[in-house]
Amino acid sequence: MAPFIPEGLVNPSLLLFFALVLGIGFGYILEQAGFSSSRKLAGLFYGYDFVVLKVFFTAGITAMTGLLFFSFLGWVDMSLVYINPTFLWSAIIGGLIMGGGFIMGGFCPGTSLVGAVIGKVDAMVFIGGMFIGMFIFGHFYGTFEPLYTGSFLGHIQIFETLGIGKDWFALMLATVALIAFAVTQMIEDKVNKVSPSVISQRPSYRMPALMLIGFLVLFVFLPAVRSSGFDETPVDQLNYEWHAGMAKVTSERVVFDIMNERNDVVYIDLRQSEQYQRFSLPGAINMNPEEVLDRKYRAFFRRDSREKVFFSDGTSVPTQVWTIARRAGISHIYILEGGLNGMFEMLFTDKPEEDNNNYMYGFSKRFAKEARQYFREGGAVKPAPDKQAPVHTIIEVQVPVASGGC
Amino acid sequence: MSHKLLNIGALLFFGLISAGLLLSNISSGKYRASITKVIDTSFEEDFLVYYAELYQLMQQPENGIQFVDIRDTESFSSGHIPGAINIPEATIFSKEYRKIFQQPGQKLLYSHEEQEAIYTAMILLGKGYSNIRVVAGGFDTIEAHVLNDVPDPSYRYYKDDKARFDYPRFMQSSVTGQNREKDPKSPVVPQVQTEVITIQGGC
Repeated sequence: MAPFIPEGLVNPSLLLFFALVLGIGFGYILEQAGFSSSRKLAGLFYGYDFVVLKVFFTAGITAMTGLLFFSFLGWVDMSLVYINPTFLWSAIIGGLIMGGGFIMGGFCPGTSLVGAVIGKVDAMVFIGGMFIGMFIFGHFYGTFEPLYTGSFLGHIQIFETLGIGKDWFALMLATVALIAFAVTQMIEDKVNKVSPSVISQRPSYRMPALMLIGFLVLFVFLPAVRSSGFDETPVDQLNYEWHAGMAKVTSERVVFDIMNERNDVVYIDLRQSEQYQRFSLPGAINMNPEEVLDRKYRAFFRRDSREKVFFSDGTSVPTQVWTIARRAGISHIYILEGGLNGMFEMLFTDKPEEDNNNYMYGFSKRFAKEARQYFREGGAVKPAPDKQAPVHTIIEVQVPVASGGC
Repeated sequence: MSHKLLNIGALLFFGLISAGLLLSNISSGKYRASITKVIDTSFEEDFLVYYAELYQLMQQPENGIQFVDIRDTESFSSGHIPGAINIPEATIFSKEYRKIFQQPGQKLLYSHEEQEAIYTAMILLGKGYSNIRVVAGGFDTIEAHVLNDVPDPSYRYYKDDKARFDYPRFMQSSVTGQNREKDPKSPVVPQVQTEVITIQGGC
């Protein structure tokens, strides 16, 4: 149910409900496609019916093409997409056992359940065999474990292993799929002895095939621009905000807010944690500048409506972080102008006497004096009044040792 | 019938992708490099040019490096790094300067303040230009500590983001200044609770 559950949009306790709904839908489609018949799957191995290969290859190619473009467009965050880890030998041996089961039984686990539901006896026997297999595996797990968990290669992807880009790999795989469709159709026609007149009257699938290849060729030439998953702020908007001074708050404003215990603003300290431990602004949280777009902070930036002020000793790091975060579409964020250096300069450095009759100068001087007193007396480190802090739920997706398969 | 459905499905699928590509081209604001790439480049150690390196670069005029002064024309006229070109910040993203940034060799940006140069450099990186770096500090600091005959040794690794105050010292005279030690976690820190879910696959 990604991205709805990891993003906190759907309650995880409803996971099984959605699994049931999706399972019913999947089973219905399998049955409607004729996969409840063991002859369909067995036909793949005997050469008289390749529809299973075509369906699953088409599904894979469609999903691959969709994910490529959707992640490029920022509609899907690929970092949230689960990739099955590879345990090489258990995958090879498991694949051989499963393939043998396909040939002998004419079902895969999913289609056997569909067949059993509509009353097919062979499907029920197949499920019985599956349970016997599960029992044997569970009972002798200790013996199988070294093979089951060995040869762990991590969350590898084929294109990385081959050392090519995912765009080229997608194009190659789609081409292989289309060739496979044509060749298997020829085999199927030969085995079933289909007459040439029937073959010539078949509808053409050239249009979708050409579109698929055309779009994947286009993807090869698209620049690797957007894969962030963020709704990016356009350059012009960013420039406008920067040059209009909308990115900055003054030291005076921050000091005033601290003195008045304003609690609808969060100060984000971008310095190292040792410096943060030694001194920081009241209520400030510490953040690694390079992790500002990390998943763990997404809920905080997206749902916490308080203003966020980035600060450091100076202004360079906050400027970097503001530019990155604002480009990523995060709003209500600001930079402390002058940083802590500027703030302490304003508070604790005596300014040269100017025109004493200047109203603003007098006001500024009185404010600095009061603020200095407040900071020196510990007001700036006083805990804020009791207020229930917002609770952000981070969904940690726990990767099982191995899962999946059909 | 199924043939027609497949064609309609393919048309809808690729139509959606085409619309997405078209809309993203309109609304993406013409970034050419991903945010991740900009983060990686701008947080690299050598993104800032410290004065030790700057002085060395200035001693080698044929180093293929281009200084870019992004201050206004008037400020540039009153003084700049030798060999620098002036492209005011307000116009730097216009098409006429594209060729300059596309040329090989490093472009070292500076301004009145380090943060102005950093912002501009990050947008240029986002637009896909590479070899963009920023000279630490603003022009006044550069002028005072590098453009002299003898560079100031204490400014060899100067940068804007360095503490110039011992902050806690200004609090030590406080009567209640130890409060922070008692309550380092302020109420405004959001509470984060973690919920673990296990992925289950299969078909």
